[in-house]
Amino acid sequence: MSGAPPRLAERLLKWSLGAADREAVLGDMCEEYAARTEQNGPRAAGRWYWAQVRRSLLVNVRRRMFESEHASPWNSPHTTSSNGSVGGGFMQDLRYAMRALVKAPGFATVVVLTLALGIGANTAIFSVVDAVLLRPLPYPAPDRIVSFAWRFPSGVSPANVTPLTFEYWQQHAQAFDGFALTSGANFNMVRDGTADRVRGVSGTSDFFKVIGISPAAGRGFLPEECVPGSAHVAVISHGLWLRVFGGAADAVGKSITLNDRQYTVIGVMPASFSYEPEADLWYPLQLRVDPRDKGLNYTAIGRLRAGTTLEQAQSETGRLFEQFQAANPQHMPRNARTIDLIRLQDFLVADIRPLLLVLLGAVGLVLLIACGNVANLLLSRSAARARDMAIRSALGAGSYRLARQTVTECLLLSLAGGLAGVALASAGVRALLASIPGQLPRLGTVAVDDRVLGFTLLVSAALGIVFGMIGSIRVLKSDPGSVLKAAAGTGVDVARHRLSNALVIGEVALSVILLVGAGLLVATFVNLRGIRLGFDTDNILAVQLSPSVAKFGSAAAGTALDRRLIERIRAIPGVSAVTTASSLPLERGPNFIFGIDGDPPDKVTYVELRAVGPDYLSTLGITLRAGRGLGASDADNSLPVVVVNEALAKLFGGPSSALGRRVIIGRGTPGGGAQREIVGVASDVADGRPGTRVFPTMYLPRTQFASGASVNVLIRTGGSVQIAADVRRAVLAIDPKLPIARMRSMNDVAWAALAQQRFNMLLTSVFAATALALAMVGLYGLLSYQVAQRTREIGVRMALGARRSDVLRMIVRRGLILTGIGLVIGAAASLALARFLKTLLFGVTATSPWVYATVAGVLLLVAFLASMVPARRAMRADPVIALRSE
Amino acid sequence: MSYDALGEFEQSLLLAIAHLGDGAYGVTIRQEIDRRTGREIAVGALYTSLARLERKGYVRSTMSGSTPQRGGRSKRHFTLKAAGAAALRQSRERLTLMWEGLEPDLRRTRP
Repeated sequence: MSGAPPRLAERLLKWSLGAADREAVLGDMCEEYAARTEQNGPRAAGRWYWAQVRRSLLVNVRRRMFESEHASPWNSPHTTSSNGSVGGGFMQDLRYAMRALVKAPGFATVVVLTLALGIGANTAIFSVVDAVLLRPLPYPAPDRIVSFAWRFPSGVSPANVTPLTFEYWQQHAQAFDGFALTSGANFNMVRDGTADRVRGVSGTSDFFKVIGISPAAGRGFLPEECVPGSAHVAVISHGLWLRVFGGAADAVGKSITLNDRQYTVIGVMPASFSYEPEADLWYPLQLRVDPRDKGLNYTAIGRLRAGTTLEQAQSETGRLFEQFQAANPQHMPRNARTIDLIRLQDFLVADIRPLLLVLLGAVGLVLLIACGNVANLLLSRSAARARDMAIRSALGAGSYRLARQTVTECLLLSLAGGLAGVALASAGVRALLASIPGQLPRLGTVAVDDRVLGFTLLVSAALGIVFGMIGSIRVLKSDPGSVLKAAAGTGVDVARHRLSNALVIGEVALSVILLVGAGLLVATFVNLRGIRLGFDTDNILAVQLSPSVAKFGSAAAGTALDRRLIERIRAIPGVSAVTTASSLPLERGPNFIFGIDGDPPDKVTYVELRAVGPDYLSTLGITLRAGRGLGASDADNSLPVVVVNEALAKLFGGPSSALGRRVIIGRGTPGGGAQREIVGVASDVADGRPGTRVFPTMYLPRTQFASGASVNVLIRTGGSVQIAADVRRAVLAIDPKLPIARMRSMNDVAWAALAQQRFNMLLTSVFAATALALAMVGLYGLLSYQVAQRTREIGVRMALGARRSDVLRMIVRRGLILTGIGLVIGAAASLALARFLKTLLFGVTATSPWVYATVAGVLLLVAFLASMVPARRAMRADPVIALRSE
Repeated sequence: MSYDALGEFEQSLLLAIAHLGDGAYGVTIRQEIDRRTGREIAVGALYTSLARLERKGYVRSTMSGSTPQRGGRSKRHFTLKAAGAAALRQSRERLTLMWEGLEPDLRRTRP
């Protein structure tokens, strides 16, 4: 029908009008719209229509709110709300629902709070999941930026590659419009006498092209700048630009001092740019492509060429992989089948994804349990109002109308719950972020923002509608006559009874799943804590220094620094032993490859290297299994020696067999090749990968190995003595510009090593405890309600001679049976879902009988207590009063 | 007999209905006022006031006649009741009495 008024405007107008006015008003508007269309055209007519709607909306709505006083007189009193959709409208439903809920404040409060808890927890976790996993990276066409992943028989894992691999792809791959290699490093930036640690990301010349964002001022890297030996330049972040140059417009061309070298600033990134969350600057990766460098140390990123699909790029990559691997087998992990191209986003979050998904699942279960409680509450309420509904129905209210009112009520409750949940979530998210250990990628973008609010609204509205529909079905199906005829107190709806029981059983089952999960993670954590660390962590202070490469990078300067540090610090009262090390125990050290003298030259193994100072083993309390430790006599001009750990000594057949053998570190790499003799075997020390088997480790004297700029000083004190200030003074006395990056006790380091597992355990325990509490509240509520419903029956029983203890036992038994059924179902479900938790576990299988038994015990105990309260209440009832009650 | 005082808007409505006679309904009432005074009334305000006038007993309304231009909806016709006419006359009289002695530009009339 051409010339119909704008549908939305008409609908709005219709909604705002009372039933009696609709016909006349809408007809008038329709007629005038047609006339105006003829006169001035449809556009002008539409504009007029909308203007009228705008001006009239508020007046109409207000008039309807005060309907009773200002009702249209042509709305005859006989027109009841039985006219279904014609009568009243949404506004009336809303007012009625609000009034009904205000009359039952306890019920409304409990429902809103329960939903707030469930929805709030989901909102909090979703905001993290959204920011980290779902939201695309803030670069143009982020799905077209890809990185590499190895495909192993057991799964896929993100890949780092060798320089030769990068060069091969750069030369042969057609699928990319930009292909770069990246790495990173920390720098000392010295400025006005103070030193700061800054994080840098290195990239080859295509880096900014792949990312798709160019510097806001200045430029990116030129190919000439990525050649080894060329000038040092850097692109700085917006934050760094503000800090160092105060936002001055002429920063480009100035220079900053990093590790005692001058880097010319060639560009400044836009304020909104973020790569790694803490990257302060980007510098050219001056890559030396040496076929002998087989270290998997660099990340490859590429942007797909326009018009190339991921499948096409993938098949090309597979082909190149086969060709490259045939020619250079040692540049890939041994059992890698092929290289998969994955989105850069997936590459960055691969480690954290399993945990986040588990959390999302857990919090979803909590919401389900909360909904179970709310459903039960709604059921009781609908039973209580059954008579009220029946009367209204008998007086002419259409069942459709009643159903709509039920839905409105439920929507109101769930939206209120959602609102309260958002408030809870905002607070919870902050606490959550503060406690997440380690580097959560894109952490800074986690916030309760529009997308998250939209999610919450969706969940709340969906819940409201679902609850309302379920409630309405009962209303629509019930027969008012029979409801009214039934005497109050005996109208026990058997079907509703069964539904309530089923809900509680379901809640118990879901909470069992969460309890088992939490129990498994607790067991994991306990196992990890119980791992013998291999040394004594008490009373050791770890001081991390970052001397500049220019001053202390050479072996001689580094040795001298070590000696002076040890001398000065040993002189501090309270210190019983001092040593140095390039990396801390319990944290990962650099990986290296080595070969055994006498083995074929291409037989190499990976080893963890720890370059340490004299008396390292004795200071830390690591037991010697054979031979000696490294001491002051192992200098740069004496015999090159190493001490190995037991795991490595196994390669030789045992500690005693390893002594005297020779190894070649860095065999087959540029700069490697010197033979070193094994002079000692130390017992195993846990390394930075808790829960995996101990890696073969080698200790070398720092004097015999150039190990990079940072040095840690490990100080054992006689007891718990405060020496931090003295240490600081000693370091400053050696060199006032030597920054102390960190000072921690070894116990803190040990604590931090398990931070991730502790976090997993704590968070899931919180959810499991919440789930258990909700389920038990539900059980308690159900039993209380049933006791109240069956007051007469209990009275009759007692009058007929049942003892009070029999009544108690009956109620408690019911509670335990419901719990027991839920327990069995939940346990079966847990066994089925067990494999999702596998990657997070250690020392315990997902089917551990201990955990299940403990969960069962805790659950039955709590259920017993929850049942006791209503049972005791029933027990104390006076049979006379019970029989009299109506 | 004294009638409730009419507001200026209500007077316009009643006068428009008086002008239109049998053909007074929402669209024509609005057009009449617009044509004479250039004032465009919002449909919400129109019906609110008409409802009030009917409650006071000044107008009577009946439903009649749907047309395709109205999307098949019927019209609500309004007619002036005796009480409404009397109220109008009362308003005019009062106003006239108050204006007596003043020019339209509010200067005093020369005696």
